[in-house]
Amino acid sequence: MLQPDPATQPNVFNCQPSETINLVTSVDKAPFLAQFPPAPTGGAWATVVQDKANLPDTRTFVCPAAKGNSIRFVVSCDERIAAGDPDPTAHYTLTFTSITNPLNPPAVFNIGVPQGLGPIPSSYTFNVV
Amino acid sequence: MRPDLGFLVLCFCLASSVAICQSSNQATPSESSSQAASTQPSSVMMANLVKIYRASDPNGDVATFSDPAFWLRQTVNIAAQTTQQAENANQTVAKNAASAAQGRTDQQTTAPTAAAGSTSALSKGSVPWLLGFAEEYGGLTQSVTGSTTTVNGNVANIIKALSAQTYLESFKKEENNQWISMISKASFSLAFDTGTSSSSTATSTTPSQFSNATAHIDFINHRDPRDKEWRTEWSTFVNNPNNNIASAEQAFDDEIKSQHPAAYKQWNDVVISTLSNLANFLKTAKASQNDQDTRITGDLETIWTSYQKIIKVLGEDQKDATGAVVVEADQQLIKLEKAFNGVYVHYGKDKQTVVNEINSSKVFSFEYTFTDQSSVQLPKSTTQTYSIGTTAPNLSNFNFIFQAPFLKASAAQFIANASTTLFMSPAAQLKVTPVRDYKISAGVDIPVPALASLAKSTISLSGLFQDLLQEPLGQKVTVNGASVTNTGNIILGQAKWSFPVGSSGVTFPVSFTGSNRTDLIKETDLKGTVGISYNLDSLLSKQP
Repeated sequence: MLQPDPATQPNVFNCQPSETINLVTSVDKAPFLAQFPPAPTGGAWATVVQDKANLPDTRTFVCPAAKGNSIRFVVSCDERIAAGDPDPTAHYTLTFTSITNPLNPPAVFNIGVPQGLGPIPSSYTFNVV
Repeated sequence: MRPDLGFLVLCFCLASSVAICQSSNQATPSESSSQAASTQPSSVMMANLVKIYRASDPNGDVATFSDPAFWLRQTVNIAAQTTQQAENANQTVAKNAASAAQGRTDQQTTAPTAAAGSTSALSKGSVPWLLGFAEEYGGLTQSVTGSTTTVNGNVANIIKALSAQTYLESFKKEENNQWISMISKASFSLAFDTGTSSSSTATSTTPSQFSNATAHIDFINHRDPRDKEWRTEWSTFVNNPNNNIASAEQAFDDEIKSQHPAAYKQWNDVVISTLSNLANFLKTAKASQNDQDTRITGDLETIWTSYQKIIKVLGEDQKDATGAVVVEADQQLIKLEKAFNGVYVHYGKDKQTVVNEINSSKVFSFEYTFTDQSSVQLPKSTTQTYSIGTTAPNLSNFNFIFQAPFLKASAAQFIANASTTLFMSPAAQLKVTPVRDYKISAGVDIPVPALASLAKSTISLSGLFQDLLQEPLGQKVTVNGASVTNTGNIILGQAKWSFPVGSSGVTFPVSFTGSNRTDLIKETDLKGTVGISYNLDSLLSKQP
């Protein structure tokens, strides 16, 4: 998984054929209200682990085998912040790492959901090169 | 301060005609199709977009704002946002927290009913998270004529808030530590008389004198969205396929990206270029906050306008000069847009159902109130003989409080109290037994939606039965402004309408009471008591 170019499209990655990518989604304010589609377009979730107690969602997917194809998905993040919170924004962190190439640096996205303004979608695309 | 009776009756009639409703703290998606929504960005929408932009990092901004589904959501929600949040157009994010706090009907900011000066017939089972401050004028069941200042607080939460870096961290400390958890369920209240007064049964008090102290503990209370009690409900909600917004958004995105790659690229180039320039501007230019917001607003409006143009092109038949259709509208895109709207409405309703369930969950609490009367000298009595200068006995009140949903899936609250008041350490000359009275009361809080220019409010209907075993000594027992000195049964009915003034945290209650004791009713069967209470959770949550 190559780091996307922040100057052009930081949410568009280049990946190797059949590269396995891990995505960890966490939030700093319960409840955890991130949604994922049943399957990414152009692929499927290989594994999904939701830790209800400690909030993070961990899932993996495999990039398409053929070059020129892509896999993409939308993540929707929402909040229900308790009354009196001095910082009424739920901060979601999405961390992408390559399982196939573990030495590659992770890509981190911070999505803030201000109180009353969720859900907020964000999209991610992995092009096989 | 007495309200005009005609005005009160009018207000009561207006309020009582409103059906029981569900409470909501955020914009709910409109049932109407996005096609009907205005394509002009409102100031509310733009202010919200700036908040969203400010809340994420540059990578997150691009991931969000370059997603066509994000802009679809703005289209779908624009009408709802305009209606719901118009009043908050120029307010800070922190004021939203204040609004959320006001939406909780379980918080009690006035003095407990056992305390003098209270306008509440019932005690509620929860107190403000940080600190509550209430100042009331007049009284209902017990009072002094002057004003009472009450301070509520939760020691553990205050300590946690001061020491913890984040709100969740403070809550996690409670979850992971049994001792903190136990302390957190306890709170306190201190009341001070801020004015002088006198009564038929006692002369009282000097300004700013300690009046009473209350200890409150929740045996059952899960009214916090972070509580682990609700993890299953939140998980069920977010994993319900019928609520899967991400899926609906992805389908919409896919249609645009796969069927209209050229149009998408054209729009996406504008988005990436605009966001990149904006990020550079914010990073390098030393602009003021206002100038930055103006720039962000302008750039996001550019993206919005660009999105609108493309959607308009894709959603309409394209005709040549002769009127012949050369490119048909993308019916699938229109269908997906409507499907998204349906999912979004379903999502909003289901989320509100969980919120209502949390806000109306059962609360069972115990409250002890100690009333200091050591400086209250008793006047002459027709029933007892004692020397001049004899002080009134202190009072102890023990009160059990129960709250539960009044109706399933509604935000209306049923509240019941059972209490007794004891005389403590009476002077030897006083011929009294320990128990002064027993009391049972019950009522229901009914949230009222916004009416015309009035914000959301609450109607409280309550009833009270009190067996006064002995003549009150010191602190008066009053009903409808009249002092109760005769022993016997008292039956009280009350209707109270509390509505917030703006989003300042101030609520303005208007109440109506009636009693079976005709000796308590001086002029009419109806009389009001007005108080003003402040919730410091709302005030303290404001950001500079």
